[in-house]
Amino acid sequence: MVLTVEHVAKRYGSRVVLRDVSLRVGRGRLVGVVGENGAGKTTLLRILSGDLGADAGAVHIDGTLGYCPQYPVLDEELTPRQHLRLFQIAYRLPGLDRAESLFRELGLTPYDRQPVKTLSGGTRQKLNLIVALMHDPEVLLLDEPYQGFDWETYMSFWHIAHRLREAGRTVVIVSHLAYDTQRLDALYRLGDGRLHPAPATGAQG
Amino acid sequence: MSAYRTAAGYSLLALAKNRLALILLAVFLPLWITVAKTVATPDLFPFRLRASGEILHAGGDKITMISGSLNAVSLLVGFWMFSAARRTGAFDRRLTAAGYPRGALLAAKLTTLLATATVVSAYAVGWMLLYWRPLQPGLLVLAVLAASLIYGAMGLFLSLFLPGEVEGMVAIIMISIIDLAPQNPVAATTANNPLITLLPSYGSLQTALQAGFTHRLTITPLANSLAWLAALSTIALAAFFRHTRTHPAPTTRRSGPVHAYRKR
Repeated sequence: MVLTVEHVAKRYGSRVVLRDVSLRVGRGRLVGVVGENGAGKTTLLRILSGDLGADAGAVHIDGTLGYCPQYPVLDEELTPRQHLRLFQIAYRLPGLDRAESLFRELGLTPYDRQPVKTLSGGTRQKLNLIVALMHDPEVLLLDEPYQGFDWETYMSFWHIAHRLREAGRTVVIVSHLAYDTQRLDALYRLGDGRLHPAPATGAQG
Repeated sequence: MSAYRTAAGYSLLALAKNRLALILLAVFLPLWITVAKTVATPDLFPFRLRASGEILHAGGDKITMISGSLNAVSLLVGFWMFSAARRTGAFDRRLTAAGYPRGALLAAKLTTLLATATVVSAYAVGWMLLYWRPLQPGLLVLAVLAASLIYGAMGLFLSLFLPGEVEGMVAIIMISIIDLAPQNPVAATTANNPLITLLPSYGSLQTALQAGFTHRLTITPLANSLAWLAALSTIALAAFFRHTRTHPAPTTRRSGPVHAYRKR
């Protein structure tokens, strides 16, 4: 298993968000996690990414990790190009070929020298996603990754997700709506602090 | 080195895009110094320099200009640093989680603070020199720089728990008033109270008064500035390290760093 989650629990004060979450995901799998607002989806993903501490449980990730947070976490004063340079250093990448290719695929190239504060919400979200993908991680955690995307970009996103799966990457996508269940290998519903397997899956390319 | 240079370069670039801070630098700071010079009385005013114990006589306009410029640089550098720290807090966290060297990012922040404080201080002293020749201009720069650095570090410190720019600005203004008003030898009857030696700008004001009106150098007041700077910087830096740490689950096992080195 590339991603193993064992009995993870988390509470904020007296409010229990995650009671007992376990999950095992193999290589080359595209997995969805859905749940109502406030069910704890973002909390779970933040724990898996190491952004937030859990009260109990274990997480095992076998390989490099990419994490796309729910809201764009970017520097408003810098351009997308400058973001690439910073994350190139962070990921220690020799070049930016993959990032450039993602820029073109998601239509970000025309904006690459504009400060982020002048970009639309959807365009910021594209950069938010590319920053998580540009080092070709083995495990990808995506929190509502297509918020604000137009239809064409939305379809590009799924094209990229399926290409990643074919390349043996493991992708976990969190969403509050179960729109895309047919595109996934497995779907889980987060409710009552636990993950429940949900039906209606079967990946399409 | 590349990580440090890139982070410092982008950090300074982003700072230079803060229009409000630039307007405050270009207009507010000269205006404050000019108003202090023109409105306050030039009559000689006797006061005791706490640092050396001697009685000095200096023009009220010059004393007010020193006090006013310290106030202006404190507000400006404090706001600038607060604003930058609030803007990049979450992003720094993402960047370091992705593997960006924290030491390089931290060094870049310190460089930004030092560069901003130096530019603002030199600019403020430049404006004062238009109106007046202090006896030790170099020491005056040092005194203003100390206030700039302390309030810059205070901006970083306040950004840890204040939510927005308005809250940060109000807090910095209030602190600056409480700090400088009781020390002003012209306006305050409290300037001789021993408690003022504990205030953040005590070292700067005493050193600036020495620089303006004496040929002597007593560095003891700057030890006060250094203590404030060290305390505020240490808290801000410790908070930066705490803020940018990752949180593995209690028994997490990972095959490598969260975002590990990947050769292509």
